[in-house]
Amino acid sequence: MDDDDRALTNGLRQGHPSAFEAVYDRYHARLYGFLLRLSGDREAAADLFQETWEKLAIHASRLRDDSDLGAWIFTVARNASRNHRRFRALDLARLARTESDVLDVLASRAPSPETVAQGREDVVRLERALAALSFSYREALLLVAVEGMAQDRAAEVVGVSHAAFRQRVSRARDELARKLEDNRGDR
Amino acid sequence: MTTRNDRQDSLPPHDEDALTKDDPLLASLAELPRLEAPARTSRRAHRRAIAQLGARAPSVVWITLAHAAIAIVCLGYLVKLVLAAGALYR
Repeated sequence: MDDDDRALTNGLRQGHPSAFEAVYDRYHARLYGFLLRLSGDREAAADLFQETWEKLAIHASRLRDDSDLGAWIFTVARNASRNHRRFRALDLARLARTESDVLDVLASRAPSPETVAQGREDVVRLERALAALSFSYREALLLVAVEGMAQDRAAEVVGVSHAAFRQRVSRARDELARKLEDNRGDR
Repeated sequence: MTTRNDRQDSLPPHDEDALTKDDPLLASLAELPRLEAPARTSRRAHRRAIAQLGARAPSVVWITLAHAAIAIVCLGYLVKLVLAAGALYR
C-alpha cells in the first residue's frame, strides 16, 4: 500500500470529507467500469456503485492502518455484485437477456482514444467475449488485466489463494481466447 | 479520459504481472476504454455516501442486545398465552 492510500485511510477513519473526496476521485471511474463489466447490467452497476460508496462511508471508521484501500473497495464491490447475481437468478426477464449493457454504453459514447487506437470492431469483439465468460473468470481478468491489480491483491479480493488465482487467470485467458475464436468463426 | 498508463501509475508495480503485460491478449484487455458512471449516477452515489460519512454502523453488541430484547418480549407474550389457555381449560 502506498503512502497516499495510508493517508487517505487515516482521513476516512476520522470521517474527513476531503479524504472521501480524494478516494472517490481516485477510484470512481475504475469502480463503475468494473461493476458494469462484471454485472453486464447498467441499472445493477449503478445500484452496486452506490452501495459500495455508502459502505465505504459507513464502515470507514473500522478501516485499519494497514488496510489496502483499493483492495477493500473492489472486495466490497465484487461481493455486492456476487450477491446481486444470486438474486438476479430468480428474475426470468433478466435471464432471457444475453447481451451485456457494456456494448450499449460504448455505442452511446464518443469513441475514446483507446477505442480508436484498438479499433472499434476489436473492442466490441473483446467486450463480447469478456461478457460471455463465467463470473469467476470474468472477475479474475477484470481485476488483473483491465484494472492492472497485482495478482496477490486480486486473489485477496476474490478470497482464494494466490496459487489458485494464478491458475484461474490462466484458464480465464484460455477461455477468452476460445470465445474470441468462436466469435471470429461466427462472422 | 484516463489512459492505461495513468491506471498503472496508480498501482504498485509487481513482478508477477509480467505475465499479464507480456501476453498480447491480456494487454489488449488493459487497453479497453474506461467506462465512467453517468453524471447523475455519480452525483447521487457521491451525495448519499457523503451524507453517511461519519455515521457509524450499529455494532454487533447492539444488534445482539436488540434481538435479545425482542426475543424476551415475544417469550413473555407466549407465556401469557399459555397461561391464558391453561386458565380456560381449568
